[in-house]
Amino acid sequence: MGAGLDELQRIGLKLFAIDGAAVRPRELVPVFHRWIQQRALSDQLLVDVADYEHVPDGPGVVLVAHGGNFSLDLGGGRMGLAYNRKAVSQGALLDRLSAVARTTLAACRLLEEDPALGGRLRFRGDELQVFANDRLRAPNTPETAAAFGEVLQQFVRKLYGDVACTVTADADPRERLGAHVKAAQPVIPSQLIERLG
Amino acid sequence: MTTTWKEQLGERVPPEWGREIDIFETQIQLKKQGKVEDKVFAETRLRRGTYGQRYDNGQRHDGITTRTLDYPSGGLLKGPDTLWDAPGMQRIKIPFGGLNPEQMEVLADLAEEYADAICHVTTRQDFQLHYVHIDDTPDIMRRLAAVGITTREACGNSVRNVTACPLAGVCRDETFDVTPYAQAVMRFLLGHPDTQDFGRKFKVALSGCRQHACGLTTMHDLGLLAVKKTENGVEKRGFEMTVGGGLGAVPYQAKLFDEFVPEEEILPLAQAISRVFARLGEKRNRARARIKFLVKNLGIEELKRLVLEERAKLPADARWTSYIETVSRHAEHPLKPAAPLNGAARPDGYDEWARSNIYRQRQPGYCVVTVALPLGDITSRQMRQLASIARRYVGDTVRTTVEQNIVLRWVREADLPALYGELCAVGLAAPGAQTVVDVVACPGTDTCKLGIASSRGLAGELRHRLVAKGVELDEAVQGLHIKISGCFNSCGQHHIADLGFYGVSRNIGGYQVPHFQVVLGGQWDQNAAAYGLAIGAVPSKNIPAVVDRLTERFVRGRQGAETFQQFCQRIGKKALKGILDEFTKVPAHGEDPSYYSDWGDPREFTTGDMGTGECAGEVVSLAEFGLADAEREVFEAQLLLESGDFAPAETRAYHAMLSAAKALVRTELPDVGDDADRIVQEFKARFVDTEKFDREFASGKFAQYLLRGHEAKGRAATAESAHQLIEEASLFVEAGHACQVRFAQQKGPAAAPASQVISLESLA
Repeated sequence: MGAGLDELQRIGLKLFAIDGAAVRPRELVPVFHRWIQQRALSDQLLVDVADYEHVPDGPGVVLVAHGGNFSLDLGGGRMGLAYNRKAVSQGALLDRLSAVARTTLAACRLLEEDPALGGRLRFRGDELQVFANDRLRAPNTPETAAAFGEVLQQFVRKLYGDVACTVTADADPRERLGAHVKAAQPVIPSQLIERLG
Repeated sequence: MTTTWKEQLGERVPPEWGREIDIFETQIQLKKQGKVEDKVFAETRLRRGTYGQRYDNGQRHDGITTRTLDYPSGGLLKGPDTLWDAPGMQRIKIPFGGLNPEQMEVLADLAEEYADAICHVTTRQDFQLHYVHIDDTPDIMRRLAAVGITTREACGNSVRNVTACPLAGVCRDETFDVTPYAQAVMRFLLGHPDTQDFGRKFKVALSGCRQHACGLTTMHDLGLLAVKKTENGVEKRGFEMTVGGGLGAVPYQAKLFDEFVPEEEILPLAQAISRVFARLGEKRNRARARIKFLVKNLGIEELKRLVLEERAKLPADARWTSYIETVSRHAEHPLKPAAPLNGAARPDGYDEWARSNIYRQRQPGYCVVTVALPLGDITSRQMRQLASIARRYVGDTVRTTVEQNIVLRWVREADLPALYGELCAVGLAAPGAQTVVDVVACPGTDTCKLGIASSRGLAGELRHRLVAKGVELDEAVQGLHIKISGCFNSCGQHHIADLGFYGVSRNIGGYQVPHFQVVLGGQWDQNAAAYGLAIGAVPSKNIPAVVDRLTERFVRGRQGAETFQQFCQRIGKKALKGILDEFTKVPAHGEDPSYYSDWGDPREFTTGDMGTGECAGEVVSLAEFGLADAEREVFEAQLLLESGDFAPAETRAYHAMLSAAKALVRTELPDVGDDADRIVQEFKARFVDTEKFDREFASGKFAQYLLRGHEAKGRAATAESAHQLIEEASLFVEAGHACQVRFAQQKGPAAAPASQVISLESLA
């Protein structure tokens, strides 16, 4: 693995909504404000909420936190919950990826169980997007993509066990380094949480 | 192995800019070590466009109570009452709004990596990134510098972004293209020694014509409007120069300084105005420190006399006129040869979009296309895609606008349908540019510390409702401008809108209720020739109904081709107030609690989150800045010594003393310049021989450190000699600080450090 990837901290992960039309992104504004009030994610310093629903295919509604931002993301025309880690975490890249996944899955579970949403917002466990949000340490080049792909394979094995998965690198070199993971059979997010431990 | 952006970008960063950013990074380190005063660091970062943001004092009202945000950096501050880890805003100056695709891609990447993946266009053609950590700002600045963008003086008490009409050069009725002049003004004033000691910001705008909104020169500190004059049969270019305009809480129309300033005189006069403003402008009361108050106090004639007197004394500078020879060479080149539309098939929606978003250039066969951005926002992905579109259709001819949009210039007509299709594909083909749906708003309570009510929340709501009405809207209504500010400071430019709003608060039954003052009758055209007046405050939740009612009355009661401004004047304020009256009532909290929260924010409304604004910057004297620089140089000398570079360490230590001495000399002799011999000579005469420097310290011994160091320049250096000189430099700089504090105390409160000065704005 390249030395740049060793130091990669800005990692993002997005889980897709099963039905992107089930909620309006703006419905998340009061939900996220309540999370701040109730410190719903106890290991996160939640700061503020930003509403970008007016921007097509954008970050939707953002829950700004010190460690990283959560957003009901509309990028690529698909609603999902994205978590973009900003602060430094410890451990190897695989550990950092796993930590980001744990945080994202915890937020997804909270949304699925949120009384204001009445169970309308549910997430797929069989598909996710991973990205490296750092063009210095992880430029979107074939070399870095290959090195990142190796770690990603380990991460996918950890997350999906024996379930067959395809990992497809995001091809556009102007975009940040990223990959799309798709499992061959249905998986629910709670299974992923269990596997991550 | 590349490990830093500094190494990665290498020589792509212009050396001078790279050095400035290195210095800023060192200042960040020094601040973390507690070696820089809070207010000095605040003004330092502000002058690099690095702002604080709402809640950065670590307190946030969550709708129930005010909670402390426990950041990991604890009590470390990046300014008075501003926590280090709290998210901040980075403003990025885009002179006259000019952009190229490479710059757009970098902006997109920066927003994605360091902010929230949104690039926000401001009402002064800047970009802003929000939720940025200060530790990331040096890399942001390096990546921008590598594509020719500096954030220097994007904030603070300095010359802000130089703005200009986005149609300059392609406008059908401009006098001439002001672009090269805007470039020249920006380059000349950026970092100029005479613009470093203002009590407040200074904004410059250039217009190519009088009749349109153009550059909005009448609301700027310095406005330059293109005019021509024929003398002895020879046509000369020049500018109508106006001074002292500004919006803010109390708006002022600029005063005519001279109806014709020849092109070769605009830079020296701008310099002379800067000197007079720095010398006589208010420093203690920042609420009255803009040049508009100086113009008001002195009168424009007296100000002009002082400026011309100063102009006569200025040492000649080749830059005043050297740019003029480049003016005639300035030209934008279209990427493709002109070609007409010629009845090509037009996709669905094209005609509606074309009605509002296309402007035919004076160059036949070409158009300017406005990409209307909702609330001035564009995502990183959209920005990258727009860069790609620009690269294929127009090249380097992109500009931002003060209406928070982006324009693509030099689109050939034949390409319009295809371009529209591509913009549709990336969600950037919204029609209604510069119409009533193109609502302008400052950040307000979303991110601004001064915001009272949610300007963006209201703007989003109005836009949503107006777009839904679409073609039903009367043509007279479609041409109106709506502008919204979160507070009275007018960053949303509410004074120059047909329908302007600014956030206020009212106490109803023991609860705070968000309201907006309704400002009617402002004029957008003719460079914002008239300002509207506040008619009354209406609860925030009733503003959409107010817009409906006012526009209905306008459509029904309009006489002939009367404008909204003329309509307001004709029916009068009493009648206008009467229209608002029924909307001013607020139901009791128990009856309808929705009135007690703001648009887009479900928390119970409070003004408790307001902080002290940073737009005003910190009043830090030039001497304080110079001494802070000297301190930084001592630190750099220590680093050089540590790495075994003894001679450079000595040079840097000596230079630290020279910087400190210069800082003090400039308090008496602003034009001392950079020549070391001159600085030392003046320092000796003014501070050593008079015993003003370090009489309390070791009988003047510290002053001798500089004098000896100056004589010994270039000697062979050893670890020991470098170490000793660094120790001496450290003591010399300390003595400089003591000297500066003593002078400030002797001069009285007006010259006291800013931390002791009460700002009326903070009280407001």
